[in-house]
Amino acid sequence: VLLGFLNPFRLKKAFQLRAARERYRRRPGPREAMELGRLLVASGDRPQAMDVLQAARRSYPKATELRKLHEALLAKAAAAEIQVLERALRSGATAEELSRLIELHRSLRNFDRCLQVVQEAERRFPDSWLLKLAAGKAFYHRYVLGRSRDDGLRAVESLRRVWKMKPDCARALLYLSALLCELGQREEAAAAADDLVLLAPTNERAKRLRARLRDGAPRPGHPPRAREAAPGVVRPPSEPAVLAGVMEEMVANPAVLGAFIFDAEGATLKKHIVHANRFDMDGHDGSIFALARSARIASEKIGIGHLRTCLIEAASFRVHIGDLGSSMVAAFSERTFAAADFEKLIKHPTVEVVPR
Amino acid sequence: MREILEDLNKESGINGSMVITPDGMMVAAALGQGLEEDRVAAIVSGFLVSIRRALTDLKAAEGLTSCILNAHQGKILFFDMGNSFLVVVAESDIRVETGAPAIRSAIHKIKNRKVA
Repeated sequence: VLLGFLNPFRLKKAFQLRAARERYRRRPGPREAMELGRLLVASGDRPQAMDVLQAARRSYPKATELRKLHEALLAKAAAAEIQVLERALRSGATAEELSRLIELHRSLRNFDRCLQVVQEAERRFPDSWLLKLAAGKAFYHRYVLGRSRDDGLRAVESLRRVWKMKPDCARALLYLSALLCELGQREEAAAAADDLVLLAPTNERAKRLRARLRDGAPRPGHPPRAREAAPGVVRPPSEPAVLAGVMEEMVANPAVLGAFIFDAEGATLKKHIVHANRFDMDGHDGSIFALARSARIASEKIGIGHLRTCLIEAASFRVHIGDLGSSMVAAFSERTFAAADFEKLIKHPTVEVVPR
Repeated sequence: MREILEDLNKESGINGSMVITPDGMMVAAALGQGLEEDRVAAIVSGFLVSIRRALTDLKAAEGLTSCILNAHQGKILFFDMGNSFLVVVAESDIRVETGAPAIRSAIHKIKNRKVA
């Protein structure tokens, strides 16, 4: 045992871990968090590594490498847990274990296997609301990705059954309300949102969803939003909406080289780089957001009020910045993409999309 | 130079103008009421630094030629003139394009004046 403790390799690792902890404590940053996270994983303390990385992601939402490391570790952990639960499935798993297995496959986007498990689970536990909820969420998320109306309707069916079996399940109502809205059944969506707020009056997401459904009806004379005209693009209820219709229309323009949408704190909600070789846009989201924020600050400090748009011109390209209040849009284009085109796009957003 | 700026300010929708160096030193100014010359120069210069930094990060080798800040209560336009910038303050509801003849003319006059 003593020799084990005095093993130089182990001693070195322990020393490195201690030093990394100290560095992170003194100067917390995404790089320091990643270093500590990796050393914790190497030392076998995966739960603490996940805690460190999760906390760091909250503090540094823009840190791409940190996000990648955290997601890779989550995927690895999910894959390991799936192996155990798949074995349990063969030897007679509980409803809770099956629900967890469905969730894990869903999180890794293994929808085929996920829905096979749903089928098997429903056969074994036809009266489990927990499994109905897992099934509803699985169909819902597949609908988000594939935009198949059939998936949307199957999700609604499962979520309605959960609501019937367990009327105090706020999560089912939250998904149901958002989904009905996306499927164009606005009145039913609003009714579900009313029930949701009664059930969970302090839940911020519930309140936001209800406000959107009850107060966000289009005013007379305003063009309908495209997501209503063309159901299929879903906004998950748990996330704030951003205007990605802007993005879709913008990148459809051949003169646009790349576009970004940021939230108020600078997290990249959506980006699309069309011509990666023209500029080094990838991985420089922070610089682009800093530029957009500088335009906003300059406008306010000079005394000309809140920024609407900013156009920066160079000899062969343009940078367009749009301030949408809770989010900011930045686009790089050829000089043929006019400021007026950009303004028109951001003034008339069509489709609501979601941050990852 | 102040005369050139005052002529420019007579254009419809243009409230004021000034010439600054890239590091924020004021060369000449004819700004409208309510805008402090030094303050505007400092803010524009700070914004220019942000633009340059971002373009450098993105490896966009070309320098800035012009910029328009379009806000709810007005517009600020600035134009690279080599070793100085022309800053124009305009009303928000008018269409002032970077190629507006009055602005081009003012830039031309300022540049020629400097050469002379």
